[in-house]
Amino acid sequence: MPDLHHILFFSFAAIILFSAGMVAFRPRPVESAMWLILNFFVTAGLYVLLGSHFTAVIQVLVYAGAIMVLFVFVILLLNLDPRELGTEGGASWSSLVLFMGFLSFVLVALQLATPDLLKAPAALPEGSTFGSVEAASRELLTKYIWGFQLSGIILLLALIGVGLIAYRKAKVPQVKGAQA
Amino acid sequence: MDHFQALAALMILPPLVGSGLWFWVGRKFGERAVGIGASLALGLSFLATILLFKDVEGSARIIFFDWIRFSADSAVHFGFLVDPLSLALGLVVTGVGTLIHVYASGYMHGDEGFGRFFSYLNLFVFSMLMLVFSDSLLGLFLGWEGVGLCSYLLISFWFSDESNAQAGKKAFVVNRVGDLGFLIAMFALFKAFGSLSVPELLQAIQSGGLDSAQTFWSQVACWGFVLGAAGKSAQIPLYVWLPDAMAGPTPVSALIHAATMVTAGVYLTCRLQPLFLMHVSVLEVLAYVGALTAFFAATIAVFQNDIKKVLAYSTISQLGYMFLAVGLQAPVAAYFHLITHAFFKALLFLGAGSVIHGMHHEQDMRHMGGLRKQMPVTFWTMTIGVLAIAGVPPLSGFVSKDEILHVVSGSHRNVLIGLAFVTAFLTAFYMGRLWIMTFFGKFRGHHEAHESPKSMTIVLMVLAALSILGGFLNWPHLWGGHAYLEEFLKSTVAVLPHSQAPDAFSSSVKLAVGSSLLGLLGLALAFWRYRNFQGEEFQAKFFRLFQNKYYVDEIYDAVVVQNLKRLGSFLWKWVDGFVLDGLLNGSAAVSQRAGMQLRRLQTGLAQQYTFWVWLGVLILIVSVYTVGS
Amino acid sequence: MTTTVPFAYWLILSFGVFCFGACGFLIRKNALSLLICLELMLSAVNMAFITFARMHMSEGGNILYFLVITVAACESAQGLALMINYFRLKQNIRLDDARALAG
Repeated sequence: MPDLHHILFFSFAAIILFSAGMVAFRPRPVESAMWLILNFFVTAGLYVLLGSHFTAVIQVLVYAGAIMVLFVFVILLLNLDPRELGTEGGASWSSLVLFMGFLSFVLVALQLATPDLLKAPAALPEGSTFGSVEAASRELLTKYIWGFQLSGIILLLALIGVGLIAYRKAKVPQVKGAQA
Repeated sequence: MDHFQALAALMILPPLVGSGLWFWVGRKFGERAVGIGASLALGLSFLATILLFKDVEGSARIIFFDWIRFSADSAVHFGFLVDPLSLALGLVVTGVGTLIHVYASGYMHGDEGFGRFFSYLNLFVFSMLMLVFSDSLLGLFLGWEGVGLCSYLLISFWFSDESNAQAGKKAFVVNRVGDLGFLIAMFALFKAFGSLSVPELLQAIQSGGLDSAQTFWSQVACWGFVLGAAGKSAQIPLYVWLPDAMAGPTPVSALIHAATMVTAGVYLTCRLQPLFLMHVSVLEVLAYVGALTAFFAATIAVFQNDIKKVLAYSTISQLGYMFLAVGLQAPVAAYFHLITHAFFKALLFLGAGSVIHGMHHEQDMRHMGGLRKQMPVTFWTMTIGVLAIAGVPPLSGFVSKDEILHVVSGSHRNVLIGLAFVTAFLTAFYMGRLWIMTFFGKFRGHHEAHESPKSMTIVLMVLAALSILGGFLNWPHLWGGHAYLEEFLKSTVAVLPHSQAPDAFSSSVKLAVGSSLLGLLGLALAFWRYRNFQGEEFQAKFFRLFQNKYYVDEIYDAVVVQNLKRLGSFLWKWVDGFVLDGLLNGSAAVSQRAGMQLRRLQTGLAQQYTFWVWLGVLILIVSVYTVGS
Repeated sequence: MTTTVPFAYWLILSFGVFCFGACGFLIRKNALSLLICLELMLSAVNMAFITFARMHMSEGGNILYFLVITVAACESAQGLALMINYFRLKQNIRLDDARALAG
């Protein structure tokens, strides 16, 4: 008899796969971005099912919130018409890629379906703090402090890099008689 | 640094330092300074050698430093072996060298490469001293190659003339053949005894008890040294370079190609006498090679018209005498002849140089004649040299040659006796011919001749005195003299016991009278044949053989040179041009074609690159299925 | 709250999303969609990390998730900036025209 967890998992999984397909194959980028936001939200739900509350919150705040807003913002900024987006690849190329994707999926899925992984996972022990904000933060700020600091530096560098790449010099207006 | 080390350094360093000095600043210093400086360097060297001669009793080993260390207890030292054998030759090298330097500073007057000339000449003396005094075969080889290099540089000194450059090249290449023998001999000795130090080697050989491998390798070494000596000392079959070497300036011919360098082979065989005594068959071959060389060179010399070529073949012939003596186990006789030959051959060459200088670089005797009035000093000193080499008593050449003839006639080998005596007669004949064609008869030249400057004539006079007196160095006991040289050398080389037969005196007198008569007969015949010389030559076809030097150069050219050229051409055109270039160009073409095909993969589309990556991952996944279980 | 769904299902779901992202990455022809597909793939990988963390009861997977989204944020920021620059240069973002690397 299907329990609540299974029902939730499979419905979330269906939504995730469907939205992933939409992300991959909708012709206009803005549609892809919208479907991706949905995908991220539902994925956050899955994380809650797994008991990883900290990551679920981050997923919504950073991924679905910050990063996807950036995407949508750039899409609006460029406001591309279909000519600028380019035509999609031919049918033979697409079917080749899809065949490869399907083949990979089937082969890996078969590999993953081991008895070990197929049995129901053990329940969390009594008093376990797994996935809580406190437990994750404690680990992050003690054991993984160097990784944490380095990710800060990476963000800073990315900020500087983006500034350098996207910066455009203002055109200096021609001064009259400068040639003389 | 002890006393001996200081003296040895004083002996070897001035020529080396001088060599570098004249090369770099010779032009700035000017001719006078360079000439005097180079002669002074040699004079210092000579003085140091005399002091060594005075102070060293018996023999001394002077070690400066370890040169190459093979293991904890074996090394090649950079050191000198000062003993009678090396001292005798060292005195000749530095003494005659000094005289020739003085002479050359007059002879080379006004030459473009004055500084360069004296740089090479000093370097030669340095190398020669290394060769003579080194206590290891490696040091000896260093000197051996050094003198070869200087010989090459000085033969082609006037290199702007193609034929001079060719002559230098010929000397260099032919000498390499001999050097190969020397190298093989060194390898063999090192294999047999594990040492390259001369005293250690000789001690090992003399102590006896060699096993069969050591005997074998030492015999190989003997043959190698014979080949090396034949190359350096211009013996059959490697004598062909010496006549061509006369392309160099005359002082060079006198110093390098008559008095010192070419005697290196004789020195080597005397130095390693115990080794050769172990293999008497090699010495036997050496004796025959020497006698044959002496005879053939003499027959060729009779028909040469270039005054220096006559002297060159005469040198080869006299060197043959020395090897004959070495081969008959009479190293003292060989050494004695080496020293007297250094005196009178240097005198003859320098005299010839004086004639050439006076005749404005004319070398053909057919264009000389009657020079005794224009060049009196040259004439009289040359006369002494001619008489000495022809074997007229009591000049030095007579004494030393008589000793060799004495040894030969004691050997009871009829072929050698015949060759030696015929050569003695021929020597007198061709020297008489040279003398008469140059100084007697009518003047057949184009330019007025003049006497040479003082710096040249004084050297001639000193050498003439040495040629007269040199014989008293080793005047035989039987004739009431004192054999100083033999006494001196006795400690280093084995000397055959003198004949104690009751008729020793009378037989030796007979021999002496016979050989002097042969010499006088040769001179007289030459006088009779050439006193009215007008340029005619022997016409008989038989003599063409001699005039063309037995066609040896042509035979070598056809057999060796042309085939080597063919081999070179084959290697160049087929092996290099076809096989190697084909391989290289082929592999280049293959990779180029492959690149042209493979570049299609590089579409520049990042998505396609990703596709290949993915394909690789897929292959990995599949391989997990096939291999993983 | 603790799941009873076998871990294999989670991992297969994660790889399925990844395959969608990868196929989209290869098929789409404009740079914006490619960046979006990259985000999808990173998210799929993150899902696998969280599953592993739960499997082994270790916070390491969660921390790795944190680092991955940091990199993802940087990557998308850089990628979008480059794309804006490219658009300024060429007035399009068609990938078929971007083949300066062709051999």
